[in-house]
Amino acid sequence: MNAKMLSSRRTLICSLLAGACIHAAQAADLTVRLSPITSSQGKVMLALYDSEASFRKTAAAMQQADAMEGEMTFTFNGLEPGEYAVTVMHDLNGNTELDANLLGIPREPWGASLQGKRVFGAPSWNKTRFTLTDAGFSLDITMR
Amino acid sequence: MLDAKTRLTRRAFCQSALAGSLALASPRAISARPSCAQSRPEHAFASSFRDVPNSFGPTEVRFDKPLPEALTGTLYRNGPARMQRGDTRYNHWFDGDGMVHAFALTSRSVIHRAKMVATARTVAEAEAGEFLWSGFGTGIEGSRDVLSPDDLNVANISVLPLGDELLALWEAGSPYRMHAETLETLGRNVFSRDTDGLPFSAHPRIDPAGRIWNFGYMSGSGKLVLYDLETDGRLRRAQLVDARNADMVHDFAITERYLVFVLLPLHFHSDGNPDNAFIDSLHWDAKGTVDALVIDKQNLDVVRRFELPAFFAFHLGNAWEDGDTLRVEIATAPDFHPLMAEITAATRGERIPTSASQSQLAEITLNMRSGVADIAALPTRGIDFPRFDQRYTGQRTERLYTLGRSDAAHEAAYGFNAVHAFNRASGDETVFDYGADSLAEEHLFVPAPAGRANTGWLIGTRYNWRECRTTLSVFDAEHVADGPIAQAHLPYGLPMGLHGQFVAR
Repeated sequence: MNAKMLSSRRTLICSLLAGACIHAAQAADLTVRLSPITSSQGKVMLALYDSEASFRKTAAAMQQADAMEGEMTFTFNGLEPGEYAVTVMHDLNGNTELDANLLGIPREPWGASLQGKRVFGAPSWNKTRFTLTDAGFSLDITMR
Repeated sequence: MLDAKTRLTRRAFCQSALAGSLALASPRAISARPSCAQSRPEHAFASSFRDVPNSFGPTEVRFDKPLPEALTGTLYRNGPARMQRGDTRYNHWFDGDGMVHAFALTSRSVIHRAKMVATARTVAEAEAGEFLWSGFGTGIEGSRDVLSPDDLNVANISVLPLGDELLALWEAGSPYRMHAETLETLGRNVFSRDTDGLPFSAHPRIDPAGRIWNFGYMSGSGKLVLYDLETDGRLRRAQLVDARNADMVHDFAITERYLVFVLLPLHFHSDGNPDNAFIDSLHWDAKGTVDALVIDKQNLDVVRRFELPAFFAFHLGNAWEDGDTLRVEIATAPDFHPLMAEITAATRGERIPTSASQSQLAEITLNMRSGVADIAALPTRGIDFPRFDQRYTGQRTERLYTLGRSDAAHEAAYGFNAVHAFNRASGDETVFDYGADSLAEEHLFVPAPAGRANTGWLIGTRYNWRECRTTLSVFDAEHVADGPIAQAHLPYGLPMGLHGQFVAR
């Protein structure tokens, strides 16, 4: 989905739901597309962060859904434009945690809004943040 | 990969490769090396990696003399084998995809077979037809992310036999399980949930009671993982210990009561770009110190930390307790980067840089009472690939077997060409020199069943780079200078490999 399609859709929604229309200048939609989801077991959980200080500590928004094999899409509506990062975990065993081995390497599928390539280590704010403008943003995350 | 028709056509152009062979080789097993005939000495080492097929054998070859009756079993070896995909060649020996070999001994012959280890990485790269990640010594432009050590795993260093299976070992990732008979890859090994995906080194040590000890490192983590396994490979304990200087740790030693680590001033600083070779992110601190850590086997606590002035080492020999002192045999080199530059030049078929490193077998002594550490050269001209009678791992052993390089070696051909048996009690050593045309691979000690210490055989391979053929040799371990008591000449050459183990049957 590209930004142009998003704003057309928003215009349509505005006209159908007069009075419930979100002012385009103040809010934006973030679409997150995840793949591959390799199992329909458990839940896929997303966390949206809006600052370095809160990154991987306190989410600005969270969503989750039962896992579906293949591709899954989540949308965060009505966000203020700004910098954000997204992390994803596929909680296969339902313990609401991203299971990891003794060295902290994840043992369940995970993803993040990685910008550029990485070598080792948990994702940092600087390597995952992206800018959401009022035109909206579309993110593709590869699950590992 | 060559198909059968291409192989047969090429074979017609390479008459010398099969001359004088006693091989009872099946047609499928022969892979000709048409470019062998005029192998130049600078290409000696690199020529062993040319056109390596995905598998070898089964090939049965007669020994020139019958084997001793008591010597029965299989020698397994692992080593980097595939060095090229498409037009891209790896720069460094340690990059190559692993291939495990089985040399099964019968009374008169050896049956050789080998298969590539199908790690997740090599399967992905085979499907793509190109290298997808950088390697130890080679940067790959456009490399994928490296998000966990197993992304890079080529399982190319050694093997750990466990009953009907064997583990193909790398050092910074999971072991891979293989069928001991067919050498099919069965899958990535997982000991437990907590250890799933943890690094497991290529040099586990088995104590005389059969307990398997090992460790793993992850560059930049500041930790070592310690493993305590049952004889059958089941996990008893796994525990982390803090360790600085643990950004690349190849080997370790055990004594009766302790685990001993020699940790080098080699530090990992990555700029986060996976296009870089691993060694380009390693920085050698010549003014730094080597940390020797002594860990209590009972509680896995660090009980002593010693310091020594900087030196480099891959391999340790045996280690044992001598009163208050721990003695640790180690194959040292003065510096990391020149050693790597040598190996890179050899892998690329280039002249070895003239500032070649001076390696030296040494003994570290760690006084547990005074906290003083020392290191002294051992009077052997053997250089590396130390092996010993493994029935006495962690106890005093009086023989140390290594590979060396004689004056007969061709100056421009990289590698070892001599087998050394060093007597630690007398300080003497006996040597067998393979001469100018052969590059020797690790020779390991196989005990005579129920025999005294150091009674048995040395078994190993060598690659004749002029003929591009590999020979398996058996020596009487107490009379190494007399030369092989039996040899079997394979009808092909094998890629220069690393480490192995013998399974008596």
